Amino acid sequence: MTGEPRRLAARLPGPARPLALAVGLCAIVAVATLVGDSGAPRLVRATGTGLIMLVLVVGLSMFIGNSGIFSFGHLAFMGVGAYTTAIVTMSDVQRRFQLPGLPGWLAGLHLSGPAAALLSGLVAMVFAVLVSVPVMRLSGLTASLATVAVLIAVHSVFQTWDTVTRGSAGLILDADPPRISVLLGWACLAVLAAVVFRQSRVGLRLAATREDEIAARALGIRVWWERGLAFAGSAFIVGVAGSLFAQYFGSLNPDSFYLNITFTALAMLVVGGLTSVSGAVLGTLAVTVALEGLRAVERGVHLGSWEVPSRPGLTEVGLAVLLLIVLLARPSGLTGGRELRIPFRRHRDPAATNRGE
Amino acid sequence: MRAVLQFLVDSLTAGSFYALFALGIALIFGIMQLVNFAHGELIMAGAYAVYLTQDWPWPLMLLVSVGTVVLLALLMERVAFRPVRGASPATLLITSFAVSFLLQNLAQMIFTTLPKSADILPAFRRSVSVGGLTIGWISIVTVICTAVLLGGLAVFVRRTRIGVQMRAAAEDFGMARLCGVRANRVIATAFGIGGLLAGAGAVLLVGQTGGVSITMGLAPVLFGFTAAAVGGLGSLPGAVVGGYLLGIGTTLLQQLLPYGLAGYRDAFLFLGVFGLMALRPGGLFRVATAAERV
Repeated sequence: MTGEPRRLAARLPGPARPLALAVGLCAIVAVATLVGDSGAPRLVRATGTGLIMLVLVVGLSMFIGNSGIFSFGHLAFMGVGAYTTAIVTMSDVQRRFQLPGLPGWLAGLHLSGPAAALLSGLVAMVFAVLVSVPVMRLSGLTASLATVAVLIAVHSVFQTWDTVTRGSAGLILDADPPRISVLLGWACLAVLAAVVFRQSRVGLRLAATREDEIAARALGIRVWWERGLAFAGSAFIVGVAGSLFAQYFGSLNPDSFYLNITFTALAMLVVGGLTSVSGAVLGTLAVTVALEGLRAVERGVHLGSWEVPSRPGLTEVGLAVLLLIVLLARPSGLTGGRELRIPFRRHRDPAATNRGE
Repeated sequence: MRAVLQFLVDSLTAGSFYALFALGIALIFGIMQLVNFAHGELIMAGAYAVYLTQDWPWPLMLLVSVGTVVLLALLMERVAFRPVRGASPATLLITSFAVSFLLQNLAQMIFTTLPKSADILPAFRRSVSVGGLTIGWISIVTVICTAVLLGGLAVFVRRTRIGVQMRAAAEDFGMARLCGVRANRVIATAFGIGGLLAGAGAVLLVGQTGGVSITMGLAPVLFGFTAAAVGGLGSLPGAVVGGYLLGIGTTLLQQLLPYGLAGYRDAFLFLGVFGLMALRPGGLFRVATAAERV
């Protein structure tokens, strides 16, 4: 009885397990999307937001989850991606109206949604590579603090660089927003990329540096190189998330990519469990549902004759309390930092078999 | 000559604020490796306390405001930070981020997002002219208060029993505990002093700007932690020097940047900080225990 599944497992080609995980996670996301998309308009909107947050959080987890270094700077990359998309997808009329000072060579440029998303990811990645050259040589906490400096500096540039960003007034897009299935597609691609990266040589090395940096160095891992690759890759995904944000909401301003959304994204990551892709997915799902519930209460609800008045700020307070509870009671998150197990495949390790389990 | 003096006065005022904020952050970081983002919300809470008590006689107002902040700091330590003590710096950072977010939005629920104005001691807003220089009273008060607080803290950590224990704990927490230093007491004291500094900073800040809002803690904590990082996280003299350097930096940028680039002051400033961190990761005053030894 124990021999058969083991032999089957041994016959499976290498990448099957991560692939199965990616498929499983995408299935969960797809079901959640279907449920949300069939609800009220408010719920549909929340589903779209949730999918964009999922791309963002999966992107964040590619760096933070694998390296163990918190980055506060990724929202700057998301902003870079979003502004890139806004500029290249805007109609000429809008561009002349909103950004009259834009260089002429941009005037004829019009990209479709997916092309803009890829370009945004690329621009965000190039920017991240520039940032990563000094940052990846720093130790964990100093690197985190340096990324805070990046976030503030970029936010300040967004607010001030009128010819490209229209300052704090922000930009408005006039293209049709993408359908929810498009967002779902991007979310699944992001999940797949994150799962594959985690199982890759670089991903495993990076996880080793997270567990014990000194031992990893002793084994000949360069650390800065692995961190840099993850940083660039995650910036690409986060840049795509920024592009989707711009396309879906149709408007953006510097504060869209500052501390509030940084906090929400990090909360999703921590609530789910930092060190696994499953954690990123489930955390985003759980926090999105919780936020939507809190927002309903925040607007004020009628419970029979008892009326709960609207309380702005309640959603954020609830999110902060949720995060604190997770940090204090279950620091490894809902998933415990592990990947979901696929229930139908009984994988047993030889040691367990030998013990006669 | 006058421009130079005016520049010095401006840098000294800004630097005093930054040093005050940086010190509160460095004090706690040194002992428990916690970058306390919620320090900004202590300042915000102090400012709201000032707003609520602005009609009271000023010594009472001062006592109540600073007292509120100290209590809040102690509460914060007990409820949120004690349970995660000893976790990785990254977890501590996220915890403090959560506390900060919680307090800021609680304040939003209570006071709404509309900024309030608080007029404490109108005399603060007058200024004196000394040899062609215009100096606001608030600048003088700020510089003097900061000097007194810094001096007081220096004496405290050198001359009192608990102060020496705090320095020992910052040097090597495990060793200090083995020698009989009580972890809870030392950390609570650090938070209490941090609260005192935040409370004083809040009163001065309200005195200078005359406004109170739920996001007013953000800028102080960002500049404070930047100053602390420039000086070398965890080093108290480093935090003070970092604060004054940052004051000089902001004032210099303010004066030297041409009109078209003036809006980029903070971008340049944080770019500079970023560069400094990259070149000298330990800050100007490297703390001996910063690197793990094998």
